[in-house]
Amino acid sequence: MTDEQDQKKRRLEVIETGTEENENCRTFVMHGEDHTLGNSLRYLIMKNPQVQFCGYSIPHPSENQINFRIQTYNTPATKVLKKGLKDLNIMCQHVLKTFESSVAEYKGRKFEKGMEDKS
Amino acid sequence: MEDKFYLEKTADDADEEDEVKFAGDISLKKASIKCSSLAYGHFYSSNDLVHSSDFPGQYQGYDDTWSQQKFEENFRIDIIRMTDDELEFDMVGVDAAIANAFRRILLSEVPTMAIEKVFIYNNTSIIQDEVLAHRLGLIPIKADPSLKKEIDIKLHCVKGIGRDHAKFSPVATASYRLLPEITILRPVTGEMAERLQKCFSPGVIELENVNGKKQAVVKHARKDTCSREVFRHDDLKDLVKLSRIRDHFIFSVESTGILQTDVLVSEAIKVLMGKCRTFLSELITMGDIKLDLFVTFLMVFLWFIFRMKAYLIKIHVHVYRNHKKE
Repeated sequence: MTDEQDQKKRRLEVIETGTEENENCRTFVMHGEDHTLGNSLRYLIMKNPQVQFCGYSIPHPSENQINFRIQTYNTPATKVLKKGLKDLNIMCQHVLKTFESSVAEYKGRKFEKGMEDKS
Repeated sequence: MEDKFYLEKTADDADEEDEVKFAGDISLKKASIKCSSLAYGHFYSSNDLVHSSDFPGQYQGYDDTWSQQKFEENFRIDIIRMTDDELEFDMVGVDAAIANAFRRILLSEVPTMAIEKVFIYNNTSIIQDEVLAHRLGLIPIKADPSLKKEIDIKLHCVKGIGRDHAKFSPVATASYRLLPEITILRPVTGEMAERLQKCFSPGVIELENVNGKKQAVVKHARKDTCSREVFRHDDLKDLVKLSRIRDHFIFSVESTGILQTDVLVSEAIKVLMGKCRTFLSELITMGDIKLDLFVTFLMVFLWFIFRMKAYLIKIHVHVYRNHKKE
């Protein structure tokens, strides 16, 4: 696979900015994403006390990508992004677990009620 | 627990009485969204906190740092009603950003199958080819081909997501609303109580007999449609407070019938998890490119040293042999 093909397949990119920026500030481009991941990830990253600013924008409505900006006090922006993604993933795992157990419990209750009604 | 600690700590200090009041206001604002009588045409007034602001450094004395443990303590899901094609459940203890992500994924990112290509060999019916193809795409379709009307077609299905075309959307609707909260600030009795009851949806306010008088009490705030009728009565509008619980989402999911509703919600959560994992691995491989370059450089360097060494040994052996011959 050539570099060009690799670049096309890549979902995550970093916008190259001026040299005055250090690694605490980064703008990431997430291809194929919108408010769904943008806003939920922004919320979780903003919950990190290391973060000075976090926001996202959709540069053009017909381009399927978002610009995701992170500025921190004293931590590499990539590290903060990684933590945000991990936190969101773990949170979703708990939501899924809770939802599935609630559904199982509801079905159990309904089944018991059905048995009672029959007898 | 933390809110209480902060209040107790500052309550000891008489000079900081204002701050105590301030802290009380914050916990109220953090818990619910007020529906003000001033905001006609909008549900919320502009000075009220509609968006989330529970971020570290925003409120003094509050630790708003993300904590999985705290989240798990507060979070709960209650299934209210579930059939094969309809589901209502409460998701409590989560921010709108997250709840909205699940709603959006349900509408447009849970993959389903739909007809994508229609090869029409014969169509003498009254429906034109392009209309028929479009309708077939939006399965389920019920056609009653009467006599002499014939459709001979080949249909190709593909897997897709609602973001590409609404026909792939697995839900009829997926929406949420916040749990309404109605507080009666002062006792409302007699004729006023009856009028107050009529301002809300049936079952929300009930009349109780207190000392021989009818008194209005809030019974099922959940049933309220959040109509603003009460604000039109000048004598009633200051007696009640309308608000909504900020983190109590009442989800309503209706399936098109392809997948069961509980499966749909599970799939939606998995889609968001998949997104996280995709970008996590992207981040890791991004780091790997730098590492790859370093490793390649190191390998070339080692290879060079090794070759040099071998070359030197060869020379050495050669010299040694020559030396021996002599």
